[in-house]
Amino acid sequence: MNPLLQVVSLTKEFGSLSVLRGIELTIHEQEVVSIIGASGSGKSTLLRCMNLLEEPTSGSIWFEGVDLANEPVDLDRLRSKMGMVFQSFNLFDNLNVLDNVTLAPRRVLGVDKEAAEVQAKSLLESVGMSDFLYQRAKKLSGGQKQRVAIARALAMNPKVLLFDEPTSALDPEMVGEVLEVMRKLAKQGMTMVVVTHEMGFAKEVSDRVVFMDQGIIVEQGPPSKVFSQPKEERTKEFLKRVLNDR
Amino acid sequence: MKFLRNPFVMILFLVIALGVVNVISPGAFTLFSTTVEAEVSETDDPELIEAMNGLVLYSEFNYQTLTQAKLDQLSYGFYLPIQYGDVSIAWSSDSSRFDIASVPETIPVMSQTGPIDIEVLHVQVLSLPSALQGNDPFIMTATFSNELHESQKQYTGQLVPVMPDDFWGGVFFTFFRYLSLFVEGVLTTLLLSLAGTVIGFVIAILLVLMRSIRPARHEATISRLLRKGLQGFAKFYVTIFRGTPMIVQAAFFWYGLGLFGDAMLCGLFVVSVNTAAYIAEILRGGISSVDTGQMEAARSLGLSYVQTMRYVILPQAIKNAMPAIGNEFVINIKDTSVLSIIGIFELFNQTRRIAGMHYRQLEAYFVVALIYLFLTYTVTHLLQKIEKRLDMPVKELTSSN
Repeated sequence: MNPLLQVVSLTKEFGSLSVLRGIELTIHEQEVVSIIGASGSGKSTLLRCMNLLEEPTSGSIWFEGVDLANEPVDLDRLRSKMGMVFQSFNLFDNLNVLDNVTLAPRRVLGVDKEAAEVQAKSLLESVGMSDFLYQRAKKLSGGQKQRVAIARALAMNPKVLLFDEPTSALDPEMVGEVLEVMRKLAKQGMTMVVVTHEMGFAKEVSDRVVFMDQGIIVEQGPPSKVFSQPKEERTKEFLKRVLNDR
Repeated sequence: MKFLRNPFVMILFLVIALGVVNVISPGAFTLFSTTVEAEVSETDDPELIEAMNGLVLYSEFNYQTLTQAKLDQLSYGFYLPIQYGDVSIAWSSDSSRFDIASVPETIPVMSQTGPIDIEVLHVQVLSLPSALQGNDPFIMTATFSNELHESQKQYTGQLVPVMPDDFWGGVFFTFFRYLSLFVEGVLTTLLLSLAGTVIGFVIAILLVLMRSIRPARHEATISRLLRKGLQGFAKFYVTIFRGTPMIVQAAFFWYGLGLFGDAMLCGLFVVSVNTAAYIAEILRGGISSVDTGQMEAARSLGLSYVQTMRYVILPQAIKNAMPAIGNEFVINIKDTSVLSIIGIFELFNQTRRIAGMHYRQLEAYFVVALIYLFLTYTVTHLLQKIEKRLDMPVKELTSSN
């Protein structure tokens, strides 16, 4: 498998606070990588650095043969190839469901309206939202919003999808419907980086689990290894804590 | 269009409709008719011609000369001479509001040779038209005759309503007598405040965009200077125009700089640039009230900063700011009154003119206060309805599948 996204000795500081301290991570094509770790360990910051929503303090991010972090690149064009799904959905409140999905293809890729709507409708169908095409985004439930957000990210035909705790803001009974959509995507071979607290999902769906603590990657490997035979003390402690909670 | 059924709104639209009619065909809806044409019948008798040209009518007050201007604004009695040299004059009138005495009397008047007594007929004004009826034109016909010839001359004039002495009578009189002037003022005020708010809104969007430009990741020095310059300008603009009174701005641009040849244009300019400063601040607040996640989501999809502002942030910010922007319109309805100092006849200045006609300030300003109140109340009400409408969810369509 070819590397698609490569993070090299990445650091990020907020003032005097060091959030990421030398991250090395390679994402391969068609790989599903789950990033787990306690709150404040830097998982979300790492994800947001990957598409430069946060500007890294130092280090490189290689994507499509260029170093996003250091070269003067057309960031908008590269971002359009990395979809992102947010914890708080961030659907455009001024638009209805269909327009949420078609906005970027039309304005960034220049797809004409009809073609964009045909594509959007089929994407919304695949996430089970085709009955809500003309609803205001505001009126949807959390799970519905997140499914629309996934369809919106997919509409740009991204090479990789970044999920930032996509189920953390959902009511428990809605987590399932979103995870179902993500499972389907993984099966279709979509490259995905998922920051998550859903250990079950990480275990079942990911090809690789990355455990982060205090701004560094402590341990990574196939879920079977990391979950059943963690090597590091910190990983064991974390897993004990979160798995006992359930 | 349910809100059109509101009586206040109906009156507002009626006033605007009357104004439009007035613009298309001036005088079409005024309550007051215009003067009649005077006619002189032909004669070649020099004695008669001299009498016709030289004859003077006298008013009741100190037997002063009754000029044509006074005849057009008549509300009291007067005297008609019945002799001019050898020419005798007989009088008749088409108006039933006059009583021309049948018995002549003698009054003293000034002539070039000193005071003289002349024979006249006393004309008493029996009744005046009401404020609702408006001016009542009349024709007085004088028949000039000597032993040989006879000729007629017509004097035209208008009887005008007189303002009642009591307060409510005065209010009623002021309102109806000068309705067309008030309507003109209302229209000017509405035009200035509405156009000023709309133009100000457009300028405000430019200001807000200038102020919120983000630096590019790898910014060249020249674009950095340009960005700082634009940001500085926007800040400076808001500080200046919010920090000085509009009356000073109006005087500065009109009397000081002598901008524009037309006071109305200058006034519109002043209202617009002034309102822009306030709306810019309102919009800035509106933008910061939009969740940052909206910007992040749009940027993560590859939309540029400008595209994000245009399609995602500004529509939400403007909607959030709509009530405050509408409020600026209402404020402008009141505040455009300061433009009276550069000679625009908006509602307040029109009222000053009206108050000056009868030296009755209380009634005129009472009426205009009511008109302003009516305008602000109606517009506020109208804006609330529109806001409610905007907030309504998009009509749900059934899925095409």
